Amino acid sequence: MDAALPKLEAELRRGVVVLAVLSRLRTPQYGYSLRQALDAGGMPIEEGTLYPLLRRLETQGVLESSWRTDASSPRRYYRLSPAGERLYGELRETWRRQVDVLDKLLD
Amino acid sequence: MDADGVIDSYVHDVARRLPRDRRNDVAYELRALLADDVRSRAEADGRAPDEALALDVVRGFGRPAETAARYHRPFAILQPSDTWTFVVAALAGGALAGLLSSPPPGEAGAPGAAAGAAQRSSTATLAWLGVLVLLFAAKNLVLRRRPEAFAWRPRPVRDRNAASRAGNAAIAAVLAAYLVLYLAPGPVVAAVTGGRVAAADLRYTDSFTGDLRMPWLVVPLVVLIALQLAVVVAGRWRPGLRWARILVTICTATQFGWHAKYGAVFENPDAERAGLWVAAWTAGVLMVLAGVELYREYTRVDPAPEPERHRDHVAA
Repeated sequence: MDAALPKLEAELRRGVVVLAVLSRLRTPQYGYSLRQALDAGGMPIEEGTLYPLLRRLETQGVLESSWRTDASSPRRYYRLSPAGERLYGELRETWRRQVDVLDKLLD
Repeated sequence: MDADGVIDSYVHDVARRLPRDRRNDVAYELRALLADDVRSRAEADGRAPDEALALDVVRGFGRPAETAARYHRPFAILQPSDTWTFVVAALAGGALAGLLSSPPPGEAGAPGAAAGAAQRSSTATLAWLGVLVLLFAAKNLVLRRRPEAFAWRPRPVRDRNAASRAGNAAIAAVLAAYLVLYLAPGPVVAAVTGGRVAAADLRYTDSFTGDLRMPWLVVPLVVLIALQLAVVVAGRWRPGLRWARILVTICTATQFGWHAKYGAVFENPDAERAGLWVAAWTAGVLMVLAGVELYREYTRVDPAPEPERHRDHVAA
């Protein structure tokens, strides 16, 4: 039974990764700074998962990005697109409803 | 190799697996991200970026093929969910190719016959596998563009234990008639054709009627008839009867195959030629039928609780 715990926890986390990422992208972030922000907020995400996820969300129109080449190394900054901001608001409400429902179930 | 060389190598191996219109942009970004990672790790460790550190970072990303798959879902020729169907189709096709590639009746012992049959069988099996791969690839290509294609549709589930008494009685009668024909082909055919075919034309050779050949097919035929009659009485196929039928069908097919392989069944050359072809085809058809029944038994579904778990559930 103990062996199943990490796998089930990972499944639980997988479902909220997108919401966590969107929550940090109301201000522009590049990949590494976003990972650090999530890490600092208690939601560490592997870079191999996070970076492709950013590209997918951009392809879906949830994020928009731009290159900044003025620093020592070029960086691609991501932020929520207008559609992404609406989606984030809806997902946040959905999440809060789910938390309420689960809290009732778990009590 | 320095850290930048490791990163460039990894980025190249990832990006070359991506669609042409995206690979350069992803490569540019991935290289910048990896360089950031390596630099920050080096600063945290108080050392200069080197090959070992860069290798550690890129290996943390996963194999290049896995990383590329996260950026762009790769086209799969065979989905994991198709594996069972593919394996069954490949095995069935291979077995059929083996049967159809067998040497012509009476020529099994000829020099090179076995090698020729093996070569024909291998070629046909490989061709079949190629066709299967193309079919599954085409299916997955369609699914990639139209995920709603090949949607599941319900179909009635047949009760495979159900047995028609009249149908099984008819099969028993046919088998019995065949047994009579097998025991005395000359007199039976002469009587049926009103003498147009002479009984002497269908006379068995002495070696065939000896102890080691002809009688051995009588046994499985009699058992098959008995099984059919048992089903007529019971009104249903029971597990023991089903398995017995499969085993006896395989025995019968084997006997027919031996007759076709060793020849010298009829004294008349024309009857011999025709008889061996009939025996060979009968062996092949019976073997295919037995294979189909075996597959049905293996994939049989009889919904019922697993005894052990059911007890736990009741106790709880």
